Amino acid sequence: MEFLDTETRRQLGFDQVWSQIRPASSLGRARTRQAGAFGKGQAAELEQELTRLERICADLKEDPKQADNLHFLLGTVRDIGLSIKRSRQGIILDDTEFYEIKKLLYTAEKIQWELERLQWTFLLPEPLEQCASCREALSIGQGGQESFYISDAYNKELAEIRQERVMLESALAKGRAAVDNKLIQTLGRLLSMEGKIAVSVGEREKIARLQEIPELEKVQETADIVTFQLIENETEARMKQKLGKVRETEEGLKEQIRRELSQKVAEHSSRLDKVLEQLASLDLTVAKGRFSAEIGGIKPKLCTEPAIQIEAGRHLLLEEEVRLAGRNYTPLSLRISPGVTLITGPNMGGKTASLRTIGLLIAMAQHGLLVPAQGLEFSPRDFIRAHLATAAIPKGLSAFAGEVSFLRDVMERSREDGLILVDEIAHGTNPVEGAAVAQAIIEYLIEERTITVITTHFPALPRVKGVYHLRVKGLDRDRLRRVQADSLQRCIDYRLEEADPSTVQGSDAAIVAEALGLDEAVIARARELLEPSMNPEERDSTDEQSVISTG
Amino acid sequence: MLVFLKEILDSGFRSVSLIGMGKNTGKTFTFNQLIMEARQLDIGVAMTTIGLDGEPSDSLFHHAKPKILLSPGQIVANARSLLLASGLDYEILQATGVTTPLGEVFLARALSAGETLLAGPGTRQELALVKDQLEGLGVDLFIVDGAVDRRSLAAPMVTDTTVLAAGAEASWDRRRLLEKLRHQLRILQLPAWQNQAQADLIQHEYGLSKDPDVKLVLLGEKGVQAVLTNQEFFHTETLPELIDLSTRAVFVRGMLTDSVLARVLAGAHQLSSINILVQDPTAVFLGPQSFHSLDAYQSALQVLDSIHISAVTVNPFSSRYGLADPLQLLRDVGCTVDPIPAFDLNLGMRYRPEEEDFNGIS
Repeated sequence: MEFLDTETRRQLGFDQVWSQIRPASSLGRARTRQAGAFGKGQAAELEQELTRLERICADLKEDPKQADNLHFLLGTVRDIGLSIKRSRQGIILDDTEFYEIKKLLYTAEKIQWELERLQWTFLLPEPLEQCASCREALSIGQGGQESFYISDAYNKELAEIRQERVMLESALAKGRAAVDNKLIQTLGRLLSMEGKIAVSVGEREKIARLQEIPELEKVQETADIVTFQLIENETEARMKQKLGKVRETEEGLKEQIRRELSQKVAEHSSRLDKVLEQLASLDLTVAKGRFSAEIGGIKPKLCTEPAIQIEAGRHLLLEEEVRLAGRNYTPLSLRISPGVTLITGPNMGGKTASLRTIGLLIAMAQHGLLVPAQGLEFSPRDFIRAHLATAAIPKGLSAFAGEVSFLRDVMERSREDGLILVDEIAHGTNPVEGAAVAQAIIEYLIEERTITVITTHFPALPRVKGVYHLRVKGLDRDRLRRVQADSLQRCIDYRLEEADPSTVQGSDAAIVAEALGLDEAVIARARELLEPSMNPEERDSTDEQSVISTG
Repeated sequence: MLVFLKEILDSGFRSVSLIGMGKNTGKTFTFNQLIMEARQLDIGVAMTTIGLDGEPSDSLFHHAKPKILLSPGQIVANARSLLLASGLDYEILQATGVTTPLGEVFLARALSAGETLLAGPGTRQELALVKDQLEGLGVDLFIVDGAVDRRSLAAPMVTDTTVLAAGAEASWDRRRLLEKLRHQLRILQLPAWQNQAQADLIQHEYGLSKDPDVKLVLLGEKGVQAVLTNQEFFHTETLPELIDLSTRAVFVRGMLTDSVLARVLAGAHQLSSINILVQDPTAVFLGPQSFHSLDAYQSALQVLDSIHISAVTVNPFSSRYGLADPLQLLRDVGCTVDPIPAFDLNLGMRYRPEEEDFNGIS
């Protein structure tokens, strides 16, 4: 079973948060897409990753711009995996591929220097692979430039044939250049690409001058235009022919060098693959570090005792929503352990938000990210599964059937160190039967290793033996009386507190309904119905369900 | 004296694009002329194309696509497959990250002389990116060959100046040719809006990369008065209510077509005059009649990004009718585009208005 399934990632908002990690290179981005969580058995590796991020974060906090150059360099890294693969298959690479490989190796060297400058060499278990001999092979006779060309130094024969080619080219160009010079002096013009020059028939003086140039001959005369062309003498024709052959030989020699260089690349292919691997991993780690710094993340503490303790944890997406709405965000603090934790409280009281926050923080931490909280201590989980009110209903199933199929799957693994988050358990069916099913499930899960957090309105569930019960502090009634109904959310204290069975929570429902302007007679009747022998706890929950949900 | 290129360089321009009124207007001849003059003057040149689809022959006339002549030391921004297929000796300088159907565009320095096909970036943004990457490579002049389609009109927005190639191919009927040319130049030379603060504001808030659903922005003395979405502009009558005597300008986002202009002018009928702004000349799809309407409304059409035209070249060749009288054509075009200099590069002539006789053209 994977650590997070697609539906849980979506419901927790993990994908959205993860997409905010932006490596600079395509390699790093691919790595981000493939990255999974650290498994329970990889606690040591996770601890190392978190420690690395904590160190980067501390540096970035001091000077957020100090890693900009590293980010820039990583951004110039290109995925040359295909060329490496081609070389391994015995294919002859082309000059652009040699350039890319050489450039990558130069970049890797600069990145290594940059890591040393930043004192961030701890980000890689070993220094970046330099493939010095491969780089040397791609740099022969090129004066230490990052560009690539097949220089004369690769092959003596090539140098000679090139010399011959250049001589022929210059000899041919010389004839043309001589004519061009004459033309510039007399007409201020040059021969065209085809070696032609045209003048208007009326320009007799110019025509006369052109006729005086022995290397030119008149090739065309129309009513308006006279055209001259550079005469190709026999020597030039022979030189051209020779030039064609010389170029062919040169190309053959260059191809031979490309073959040899491709073999060289193939010999180094595993080391080149390693550079790519190192760069991808480095890019992702740096991006995670930058992200962690941006969100003001702290390093989670891993513990062996199976528990999760959150101190002022924030769900990044919810926090942003609340901030945009101009309200204050209430962070989450709690400690939960194996068995079942129930969260109760009024609608809009943040119960679902609590589940999402717990799930997201653990998911982030186990993907090796620092977390937005004042403190997080947890034992790594085997899996996280969430079924929230926003869950997508599988095709062909009712909402209740969808939930049951979710519960069936997770209960099969309840002996593992999981984290199961269930929002409003069994609320999609008959309340009496739903409560019974929910109670049976809780009784089953209560003894298991997995940590389960459930929100509910069923009044009987908190009384199940062994359940740890948390509730939302709830409405500030005095404040509600003073402010407008549309400020209802400002009147809720979203903090969780351990529920004390001996205290009685008042009827928030009637107050809210009144604040929202429900007919006075209806409110009075509701209060009358609530009066009789009902247990305060039951009364509380029933009211929330029936009345506050309209708000 | 090589006049053509020198005029461009003497004006301080460091990049030039070539656009044509149509096929066979001599754009490639002009391109090669610039390259050869640059070589003669020992000017460091880089070159590329925009909007070329890279097929080996053009789809309209099935002519082989013209090649350009490279000399050692000159730099090209060319698609990988064309670079490798040219058989020339190159030094690969940089991968640009810009891709084309013919592969990624690489910057490469020619190490041998020879001919090659060129295919460069396809969009304005990509061209600008390539231009930036040429910095530091010792390039004195960057030459961009625009293909003959609407996309290539983006090239002038990226380069300092532009040469327009006109020719008999565009219309054999002289009167129509000149009308077409006049109209095209009027669009290409639309003046830049002088209110820099507001121009910056529009670029920043409603520019190319911003919310595409904005169609109209009304501007008064103090800034933005109102913003209309496409829906509001095209399907409601709110424009006349929003425009009042304090409205100074209307920025039309995206294409300015005849019908969009008519709608704007109708909405602004209570004003004695109004400035209409568009992003750049490529956004203008107006017929000659619309310019008459603008004149009638005493309205000025202006752009945020203007284009500079430094020359018009003429080509008397028509694939249907043969050769037109080159001197007459140069004289007619020269007169029409004055004060922009007009050249017949094949004949090495420049039209001079002050000496309206045959000898004066030189």
